Amino acid sequence: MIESSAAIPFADNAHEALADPQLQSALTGLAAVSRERRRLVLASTNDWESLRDRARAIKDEALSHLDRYLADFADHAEAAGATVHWASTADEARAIVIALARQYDATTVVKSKSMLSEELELNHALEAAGISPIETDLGEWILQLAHEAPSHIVVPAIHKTHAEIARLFTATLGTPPDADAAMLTAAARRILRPAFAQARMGISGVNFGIAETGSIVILENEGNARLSTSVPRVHVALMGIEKIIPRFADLDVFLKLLPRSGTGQRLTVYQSILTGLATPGEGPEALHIVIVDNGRSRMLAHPITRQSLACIRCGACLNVCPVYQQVGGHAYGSVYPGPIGAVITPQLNGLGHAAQLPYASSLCGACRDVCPVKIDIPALLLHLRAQIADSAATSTSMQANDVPSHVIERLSFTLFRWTMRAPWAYRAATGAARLGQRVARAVLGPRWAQRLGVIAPPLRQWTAGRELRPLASRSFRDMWMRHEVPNVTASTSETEGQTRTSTPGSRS
Amino acid sequence: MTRADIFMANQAARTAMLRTIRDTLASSPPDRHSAGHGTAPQGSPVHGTSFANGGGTPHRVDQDTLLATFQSQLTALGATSACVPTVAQVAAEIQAALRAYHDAATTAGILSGSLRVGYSDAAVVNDAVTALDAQEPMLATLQPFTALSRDALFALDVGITGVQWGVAETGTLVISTAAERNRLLSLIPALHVAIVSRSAIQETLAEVLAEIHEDSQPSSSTASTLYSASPRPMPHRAVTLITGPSRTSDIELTLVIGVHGPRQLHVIVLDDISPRLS
Repeated sequence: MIESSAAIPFADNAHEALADPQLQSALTGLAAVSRERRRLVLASTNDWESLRDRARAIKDEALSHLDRYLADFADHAEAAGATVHWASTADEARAIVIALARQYDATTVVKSKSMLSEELELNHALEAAGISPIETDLGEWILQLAHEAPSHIVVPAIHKTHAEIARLFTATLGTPPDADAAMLTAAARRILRPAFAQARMGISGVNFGIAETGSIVILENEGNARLSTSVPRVHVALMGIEKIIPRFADLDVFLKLLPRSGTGQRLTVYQSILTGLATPGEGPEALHIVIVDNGRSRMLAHPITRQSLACIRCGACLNVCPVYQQVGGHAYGSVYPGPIGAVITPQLNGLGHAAQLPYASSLCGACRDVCPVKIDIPALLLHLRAQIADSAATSTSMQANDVPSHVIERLSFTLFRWTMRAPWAYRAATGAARLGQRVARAVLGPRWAQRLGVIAPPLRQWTAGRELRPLASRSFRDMWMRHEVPNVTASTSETEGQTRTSTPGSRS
Repeated sequence: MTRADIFMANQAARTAMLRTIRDTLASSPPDRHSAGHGTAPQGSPVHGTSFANGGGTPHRVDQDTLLATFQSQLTALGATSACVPTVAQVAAEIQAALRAYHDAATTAGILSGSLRVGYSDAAVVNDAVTALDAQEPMLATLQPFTALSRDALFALDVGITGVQWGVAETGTLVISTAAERNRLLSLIPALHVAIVSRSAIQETLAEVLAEIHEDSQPSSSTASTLYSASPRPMPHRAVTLITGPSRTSDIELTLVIGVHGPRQLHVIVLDDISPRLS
C-alpha cells in the first residue's frame, strides 16, 4: 500500500489556505447555510435515524455480495440494451472512454458532474486524445473556465467568491462586471445550449446502480445531466463498483437520504432512472456503462475499510467538519476533500501518498453524526493512523543516528499508561509538574507556556496550534482531603474558579 | 482489434474484476460491527421486496388533502398550478399560461412574434392542443414532437407534455418514456406546461416507484426470492422525476431558479375524480 509518489503536503496547504483572505471569505457562508438548510429539512422528516440504519444495512449487504450484485446489474443492463465495460484501473477506464469517443466520431463531449471523472482525470486524457470535454454543471463549468479543480463534492466552486466568478466571466465571456448570480447563470445557459445540441456524446456519473433492474440513477438540480444523457447520440455513464444497490425498492430510501444530506432538499429537482435504451428519438442510440474499480476493491478486505464504500457522496461531512470549514477542499490535495476524503484518498492512492490526511481531523465525530449511511469516519481515521504508525515502525529508510519518532512516542505512552495506573505515580507526576510549572513561570514569565514551546522544539508542534493549559495550583484531590470541597448540589451551578476558592463554611 | 476481440477482452476484464472482488471479500475478517449498524430484521426491504412505505398500516389521505398538498408543494418550489375539470378548461389554462409567458417575454425583449410551442403525443395533450389551436392562432405556433428537428426542438419556447404520476408530499412530477414522448419536451424549452390526471397523484414517491417496478415483474412473482432472477427489462426505460423548475446554488450558495432545464413550470391537474355537475 505504501507508494513513493509525491506526497500530499496537507499541513503546508492548510497554512496557505488559512492565510488566503479570498478563500476564507468564500468559505464563510458554507457552515451556516448548510446547517440551516439541513435543520429545516430534517425537521419535516420522520424517522431519520431508521432511514440511516436501513440505508447502511442495504449498503452493507450490497458490498458484502458485491461480485454477485455487479454481475446481476451488468446482465440486466445489457438485457435492456446497454453495453457494460469493465475497467480495473484509471488507465483502462480512460482508454475505454476515448475508444468510445473515436468509435462515435465525437470531437466534443458534454459532461455532467461526476466525481469519478475527476478522480480519473478524464478531461486531461480526452484533451490529449484531441477530444474537447465541456463541463456543463455550473460549478464545474466555472472551474473549467478558471482551470481549477473542485473543492467540494456537491458545490465544486465553493472556494470562489461571487466577485471572483463575475471577474472570470467578464474576462472570458464578456458579461457585465456587476452581473449578479442570476445573470451569470443565464450566461451559462445561453453559452452551453449549442454545446448540448451539437455534442455527439454525453458523459455522466452514476449515483446508484440497481442490480435487480440494471437501472442507473442520476440526481441533479440544473438539468445539465438530463441534457447530457438524453440529447447526444451516445451516453457514457461512469460508475464506481460501490454504487450498487440490490433492489429497485431500495431506491426510495436513498432518494430520501441523499438530497436531504447533500443540499437540504426533500428531493433534488431531477432524478433520471435510466434502464437501457429508451424510445428511439427520445434518448441516445447507445448507452455505455463503464464500471470502474481503481483501488476500490482493496477496501473490501476489512469490515472497517469496507464502510468507506458505503459513501453516497452527499458532502454532509464536509459541511460540518471544523477542519474543512477552515481550510477548504484544495488543501486535501485530492478530488475527495473533507473527512470522507481523508479516509478515501489514502486508500485509493496509497498511504505513503497521503499520510498526512488521516491526521487532518480533530476526531470530533461531527462527520459520523451527520453521515446518512453512518460511516464511522473517526474509526476509519484511527485505523489508517495505526497502519501509518505500523509501517513507520518497520520502515528501514531511517537515518542511522536519528532517534525514530515512533520510539519516543511509544516510550511516552508507556510512561503515561504506567502513571495513570498507579495512584502514587500519578501523585508524584502531577506534583513534579506543579513544581516545574512554578519554576518555568519564575524563569520565563507569565507567558511561560508559549515560550516553553519555542524553547523545546518537540513541544512546539503542540503549542503552535494550542495553548498549553496550566495545572491548577492545587489539585481537587488535595482540597478534598482537607474538606475544602463544597457539597456537590451546591457547586453544580458554580464556575470552576469560584469552586476552587470556596470552602463549605464560606457559603450556605 | 476486431469487434469480437474487444468483446472477448471485455468479458475477460469482467471475469477478472469480479474474481478480485470475490477473493478480497473472502479474505476479509468477519464484520463484528455490523450489528451496531442495525442488521435489518426479517421483513424489512433488505430481505423482502416491499417498499418502505408500502408495508405499513394503510392510512389513506383523502383526495382533497392530496391535491392541496401537491399544489402547495409546487408553489413552494416556485412552480404554478391549476386544477380544472374538463379538457376544454385545460386548453383554456394552457392558453392563459402561453399568453402570460408571451407577454412577459415580449416585454423583456427576448421574444418577438409568436411563441414556438412543442407538444407531446399524449392523448390528453393532443385533445387540449386541438381545442386550443382554433382559439388564438397568433399567440403560438404549435408543433407535435415527432415533427420537430433537433434545431427546431432547441428553438422551442414552450413544451407541453403529459405526466404519468404526481407525488403529493414533494410536489414531484414523474414522467416515463413508456407512456409518451415527453423526455426532451419537458427539459429543453424555458417553460414546461405539464398535465397530470388527479387520479394519478399519489401521496408518496414510494407508492409511485412501486407501481413503476410492478410493471416489470412477472405476474407469478413470489416474495420468497431476493428478487426474481430474470425479470423482463423495465418497460419504463427512462423515468424522470421533476420537482420544480431547474435551479442551482453553485455561486456562493445563492439560489438561482432556471439553469439548463425549464425556468418556469406550470402544472395543470385534470380533475378526473370529482363528480361532474352537468
